[in-house]
Amino acid sequence: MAKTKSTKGNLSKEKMLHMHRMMLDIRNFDSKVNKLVRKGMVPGMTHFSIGEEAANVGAVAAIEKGFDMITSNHRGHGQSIALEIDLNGMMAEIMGKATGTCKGKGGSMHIADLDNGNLGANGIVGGGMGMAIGAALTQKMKKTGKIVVCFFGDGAVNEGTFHETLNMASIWNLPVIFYSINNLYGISTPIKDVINIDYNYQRAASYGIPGHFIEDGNDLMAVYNKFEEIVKYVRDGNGPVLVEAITYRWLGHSTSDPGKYRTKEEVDEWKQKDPITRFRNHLIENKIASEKELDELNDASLAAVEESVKFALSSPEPTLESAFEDIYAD
Amino acid sequence: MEKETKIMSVRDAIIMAMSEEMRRDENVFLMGEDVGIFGGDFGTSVGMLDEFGKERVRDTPISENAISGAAIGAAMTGMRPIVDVTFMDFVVYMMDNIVNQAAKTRYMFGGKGQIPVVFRCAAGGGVGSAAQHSQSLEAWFTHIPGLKVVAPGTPADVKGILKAAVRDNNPVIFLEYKAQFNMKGEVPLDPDFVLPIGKADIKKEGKDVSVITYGRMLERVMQAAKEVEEAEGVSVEVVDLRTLKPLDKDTVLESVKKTGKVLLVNDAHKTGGFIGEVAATIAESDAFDFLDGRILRLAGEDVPIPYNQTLEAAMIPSVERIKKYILKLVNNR
Amino acid sequence: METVKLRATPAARALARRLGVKLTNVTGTGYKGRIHRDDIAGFNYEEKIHVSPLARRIAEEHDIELKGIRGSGHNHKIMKEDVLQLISDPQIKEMLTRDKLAESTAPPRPAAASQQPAAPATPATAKAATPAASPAPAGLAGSTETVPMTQMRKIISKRMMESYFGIPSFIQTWEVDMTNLLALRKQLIEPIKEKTGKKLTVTDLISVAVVKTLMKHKQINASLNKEGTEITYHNYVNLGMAVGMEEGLLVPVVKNADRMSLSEFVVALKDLTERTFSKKLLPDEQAGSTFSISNLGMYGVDEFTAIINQPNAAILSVASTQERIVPINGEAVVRPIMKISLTSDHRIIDGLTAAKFMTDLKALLENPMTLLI
Repeated sequence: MAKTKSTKGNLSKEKMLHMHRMMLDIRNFDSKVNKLVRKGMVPGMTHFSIGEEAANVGAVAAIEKGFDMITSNHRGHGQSIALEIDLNGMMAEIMGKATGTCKGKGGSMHIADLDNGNLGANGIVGGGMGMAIGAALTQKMKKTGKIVVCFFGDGAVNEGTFHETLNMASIWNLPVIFYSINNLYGISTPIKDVINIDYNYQRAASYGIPGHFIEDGNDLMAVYNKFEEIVKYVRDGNGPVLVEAITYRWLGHSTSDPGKYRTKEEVDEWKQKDPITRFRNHLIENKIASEKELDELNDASLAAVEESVKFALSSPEPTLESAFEDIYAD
Repeated sequence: MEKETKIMSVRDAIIMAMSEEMRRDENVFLMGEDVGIFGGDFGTSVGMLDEFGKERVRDTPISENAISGAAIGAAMTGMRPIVDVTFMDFVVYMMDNIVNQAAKTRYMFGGKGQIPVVFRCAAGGGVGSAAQHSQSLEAWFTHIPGLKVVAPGTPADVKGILKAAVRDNNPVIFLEYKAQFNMKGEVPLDPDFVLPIGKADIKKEGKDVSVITYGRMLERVMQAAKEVEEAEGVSVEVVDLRTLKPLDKDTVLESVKKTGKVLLVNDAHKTGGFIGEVAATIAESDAFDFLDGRILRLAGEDVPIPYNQTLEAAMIPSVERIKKYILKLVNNR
Repeated sequence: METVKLRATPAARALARRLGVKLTNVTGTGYKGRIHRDDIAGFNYEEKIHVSPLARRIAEEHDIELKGIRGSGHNHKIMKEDVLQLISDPQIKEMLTRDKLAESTAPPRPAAASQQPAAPATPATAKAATPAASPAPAGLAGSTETVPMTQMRKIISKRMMESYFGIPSFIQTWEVDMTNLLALRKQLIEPIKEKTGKKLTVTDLISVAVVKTLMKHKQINASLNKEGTEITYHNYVNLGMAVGMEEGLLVPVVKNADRMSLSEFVVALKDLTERTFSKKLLPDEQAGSTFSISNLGMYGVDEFTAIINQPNAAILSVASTQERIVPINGEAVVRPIMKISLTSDHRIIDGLTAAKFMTDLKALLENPMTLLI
């Protein structure tokens, strides 16, 4: 079983620039998709991770890509991109093209990247939780040393599956991190209206597992450091963990949400806490990278996003026959 | 290959099938409520904890959602779980994981990934368990693309089809019948005895009328066929579907073309029951031109199963009523 | 295609379409009179027997003939109980058991009585026996074989009696010089063959001549009802042509022969005859004749008298054409001579009427070119 060493404060420049790039990719990709939606070029619903970049990247950076696994939820762009999914395939999938990661048959809510350990986004709130503990069960039974990070929001915590899966993971000592990204709203319901406790991480006590709290989910290093700690804990065979990070989404719940339930002041306030700006400042102030380097990084990110759009637009639609394929495995 | 057979019950056939598959492939394991030391709610895993240990014969809390979710997650990452749902009525708690996750994942991911999981459901009534513990819900699952649904009706078929279900790389809903765990029959002992999913079986050849059925009603249909042949000289052909989804249309239609007269029998409720699907399949096919009578259905009444035993028995098709319907068809009613 | 709303199963409809059976003619044995496949299958070759499928099967197993039996079911439908009752009485059973002997000598056919081509209309038969050879070895001293009559023969026998004893008939025999007709035939063989693919026979020409003559003699082309109280004169000719088979005689009918050209008649008669032999004749095609012809010419019979095919008023017997020496203009000449006889129902036809008809017919046969007029 692999054991991770704590590298608190000892992250390489390469790793930090990588994380910054991931956040830029998420921001640029989702911003682009947002524009495309307004132009009517993306069908159906999409859920943006803009504003939650640090919460996503910090966690994913702490696991081993291609070794560990994640399950994702409907707001899965951040997780997929942080796990370095092929942007071309992802954009093509969002546009429903045959070259998409799911051949155009899954769409934004079902993006998966099995080779990279991404067991898929899920259209059902809490739908990935069962799958996460199942994947963790496999690792336990086969003693692989791999762990599973189960991403969900603040709303999923109230689904029955949250209770059942945390309990089962606990009694069976499964290597899974239950990660609630709390952006303070369900669709339109503020978190304070739907729970009678202060924060969801406190529920961990009901299942006899540790509960961790990342108060500032927009502080990339805070997220990363916390995750480094709990990844080690879980990988060492200590059983599951519940962790909650507070962050905020800049855009509506989905593309069809005007956001009447939040005040403009609140949104603006959170935009001041932009995780990307903060990390950029951190890098510059600590002389880890120059402005020029970071600008170049952003340009590269923008170019990659443009590339993915070109790729997607020029890709073919799936054939009619493909609708009847992949129903059964042979 | 051993050709030996042994007379055993459906229960024993289930234990044998699961044990053989678990010996053959270390990724196969059983999970569910009370499957371990208790040996299963219906005794269908007696002795298995001793042989395979508690990792592979895994007792769970009463958490159908987590059970089904864990099974699916494990299946997606290389394991081959068998879930003992126990009473089929409890599968309702598992619907999201079965319908929204297991059935669709491979498709939504564009053909990547597979979910080889078997949900064993103890279906049907006849044991005085009343409305919430006596349902046969197979029709719901036949409606969902991505699932396979099987309902064998003899101990040998139970063994052969359960093994096939475990070896199948798709989520399979496997129906076993509470009232038939004690039913005995010849079962091949060969550990490689596997029956194909998706193939019906002509249990009895005949030329006057086709009776198409599956699961619990097969036994009654065979009895009725025998009696009506002896008493009235009617030659009944019994088509045992064995697999509901995917349906073996060819065998069904061939029989219909042969006899021209069709009776469909199942124990599930009539409205929305699976035999309605078979009836429509027959009516829209080219076998229509050979129909020499109405397509009749004999099914469970559209009522929740009552507790009183006499009432309950009257709510599902009996041998007498099956015979009556056969004669109705043969007499051109 | 059916425009009437009938209850009939898909299998029944498909079979009816194939066999050309009109569903409106069939009695259904199903619920609310629904027509089933067996109703069509059975309908083709036998009188409509109203019987339940189970009863029919039991009857078949015991070789019981059900014609004429009235059952206890609705509309006298024969039910299982009726058949079982019949079987239980040994005398009755014997009476109703089908003729097994006919099966052994006749060309192979299923044991079901449904294959016996008994016509619902009245068949007629020549007094001279049909070409079927007697199966019993007659003449061997001491050994005889007694066989019960086949159903078909029973019916033929019954009708014969009715006709023979019921009708006051008389016969007129005439001789016809066939020289010109035979010559005409020779000339027409090729053109007819080319047009229809069929071979023109003497019978065809004789028949067409008969049809033409009948249109001018309505008393001959008439029908008398059973009670003998009503005469029907037809302004069309449905020509019955007796066809001899091993099991008995059938008389297929060429409908509206008066409207047919020679070619059309050739085709129609050929088709009917073929189907009679292959037992595919429809009941429709054995009924409704207005006049009948019995031709034994091919068997070398000098002359004979046929028995009237009721309800026709008369029947024409055609014997063989034989070379004879006849005096023509004082000289002895060899000519092909054919004898024809008309058997007439004296209740409608008197001697003079018959003679006039035969005179015209003879004239037409001896000068067949006038057929063209």
